[in-house]
Amino acid sequence: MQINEHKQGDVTIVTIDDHLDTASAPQFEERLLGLVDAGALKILIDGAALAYVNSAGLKVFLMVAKKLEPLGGRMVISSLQPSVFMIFEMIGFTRIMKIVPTRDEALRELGAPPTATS
Amino acid sequence: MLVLAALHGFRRAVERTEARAEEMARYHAAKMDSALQHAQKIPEMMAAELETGRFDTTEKLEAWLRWIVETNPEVYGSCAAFRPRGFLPELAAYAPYVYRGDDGLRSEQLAKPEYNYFQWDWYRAPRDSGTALWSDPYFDEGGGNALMITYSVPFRKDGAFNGIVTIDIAITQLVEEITRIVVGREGYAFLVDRTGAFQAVPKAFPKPSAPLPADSPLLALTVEDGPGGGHARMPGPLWNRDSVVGFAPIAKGRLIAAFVSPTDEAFADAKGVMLQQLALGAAGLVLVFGAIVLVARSVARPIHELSAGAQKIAAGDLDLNIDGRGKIAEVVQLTEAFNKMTRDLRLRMEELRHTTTIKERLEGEMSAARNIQMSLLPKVFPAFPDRREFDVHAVVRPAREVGGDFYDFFLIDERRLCVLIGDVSGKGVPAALFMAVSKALIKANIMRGAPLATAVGYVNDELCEEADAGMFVTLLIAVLDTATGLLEYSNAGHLSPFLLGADGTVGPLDGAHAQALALSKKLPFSTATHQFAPGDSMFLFTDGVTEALSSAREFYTSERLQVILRDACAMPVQRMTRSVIQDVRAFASDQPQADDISVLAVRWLGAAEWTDEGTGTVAATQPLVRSLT
Repeated sequence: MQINEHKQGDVTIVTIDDHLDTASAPQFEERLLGLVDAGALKILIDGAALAYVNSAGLKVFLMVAKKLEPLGGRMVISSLQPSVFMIFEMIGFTRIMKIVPTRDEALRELGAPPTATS
Repeated sequence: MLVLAALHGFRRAVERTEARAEEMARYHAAKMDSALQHAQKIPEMMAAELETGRFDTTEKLEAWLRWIVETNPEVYGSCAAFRPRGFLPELAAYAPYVYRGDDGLRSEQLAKPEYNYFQWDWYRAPRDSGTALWSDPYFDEGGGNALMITYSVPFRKDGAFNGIVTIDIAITQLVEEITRIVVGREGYAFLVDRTGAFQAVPKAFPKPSAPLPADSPLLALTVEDGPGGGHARMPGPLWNRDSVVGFAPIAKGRLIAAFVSPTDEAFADAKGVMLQQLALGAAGLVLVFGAIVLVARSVARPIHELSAGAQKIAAGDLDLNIDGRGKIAEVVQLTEAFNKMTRDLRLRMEELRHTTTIKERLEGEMSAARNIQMSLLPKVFPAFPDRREFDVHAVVRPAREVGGDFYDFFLIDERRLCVLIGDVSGKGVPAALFMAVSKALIKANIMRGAPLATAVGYVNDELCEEADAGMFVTLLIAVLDTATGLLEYSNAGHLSPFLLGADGTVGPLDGAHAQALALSKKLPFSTATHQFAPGDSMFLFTDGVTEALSSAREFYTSERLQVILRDACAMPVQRMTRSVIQDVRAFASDQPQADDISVLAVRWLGAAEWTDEGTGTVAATQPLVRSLT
């Protein structure tokens, strides 16, 4: 799995691909919690290239959301493939997290201007 | 069959009597202990006062002793016994004793050649052990004419032992309160000391002069680890009737309270109950329900302690030992399993310190956690050999790394069967512990009797308090009314189970879908119902099945599961579960198993009915499964 990140205004955009599973979840966890520790309060996770997620990976999303909440931060997830979105929906994450279809919508949600080059 | 049913009823009656007798013993022992604990504070406070050294003359000290006895009505006498020259250098021995005489307080000096207090147990035992101790009970024939017990507390001066302060408590009233209790209709209570000598019996009986035999189970209590207690079947010691005796220690085992209930009374009760069952089945259910609510209430507190403990263990505190007090065998068992798990983990960790590679360390920890996790799942089948109306079977195939799968099934009452399957996010020891907590909380809340959706909501709220590090639990839970075949189920973020019709149809039961547990408090859960026809089954599974990977990196998928289930519809449930597991293994061939694989199948076979004529058998009134014939 590849994790890339860049800043757009005050939003940290993280892209992930391939499989987010038991093997790759620790790496993803370390990276994201590191971002929060470093002060990132607006995090956008773009899952356009994410093909599979299991419960170990889902756990990381919940950890980040719970960690951001008391800090006044926010996480928005965008562009999930249908098969991955179905898993998020089954677990009920769609009821406690903001999950939107596109990266632009996610940026709007986080109060940043949409970008033409996403 | 009627004989078997009657035997079963009698055995149950005896078990109930045992539980009741033990519970009474524990309750009254704890009550008396709390009165004694209150009295213990007096000499403990006195020892602290003596250590300040503010009593520097015999007049001051004796006036203070008198004041203590005068102002504490529960204290019969008190003594401050100093070590040789411990009070003043010129006093070789000094032990003023103040007690209640017929005409007010009396003082006596125990430091006298004919008594030589240094030789007595009440002085020597706490001196040698360095801790406060209760004495054996004794009958005081002097001023008190009462059953007494003495609490001795050592005190120090400049860090070294300097003497013992004692109080005598008359316990006649406390023990008489116990011996006045009538157990059931004809049972009684008595107290013995740790040698088995009778200290108090009900007024209607003469006090036996011979003690209980040394091998009596009442005398085998170990009290060092905390409040014990137990029950035994024996000829009642005050009469010649076979009895159930529940017992519990008082004052660290210096006294033992025993509650006796004759077994023939329990049998008579069982007979009555059987007759009543036929006539008053409905009223019986209400009573059972009430009892379950009471029992479930007393389950909740220890479960909370347990889950708090589990958090500490998960955080690495392996020295934790959870107090095993509790009246419910289930909870005591779980607590024991927990403590054993903690001990096992600790032992394992210690062993591992000596091993060299990190790989070995991790594998060891994993296999310990996996063993613990697996030991919590019910694995004895057939699980309900005397029930004809339903059949249930479950298999778990644990991954090499510990996963968080679990399942459970149990009767909520005679009529309703609860089955569930779940999956905790993540892996390793924390997931195994969180799984244990989840399983216990679910059962406790279901047994409490709230509607299913409400109970799941309670579990969710409680798990939210326990969850950290993004843990969550998916759960599919269902309650089957075994008399009508009505199934009620609730889905918390779990894969939909499959409904397998007796006619060979297979389809998902996809109602009542809510979010997983432990995501957020106060989220609503719902339930849906499905009416089973005789022979219908439900198949529950975890994502270890559908997400098993083949060597071509393909998932097993729920489509493939549906195909194999179509063939398995007609099989007995234990073959159904096994054939699915076999198919998943064949599919994955040599690929390592990444996640636990769990399946559970439950089938309704039609209502059973008590028949009151002829053979008196318990029979399925509806024809058995078509596919089985």
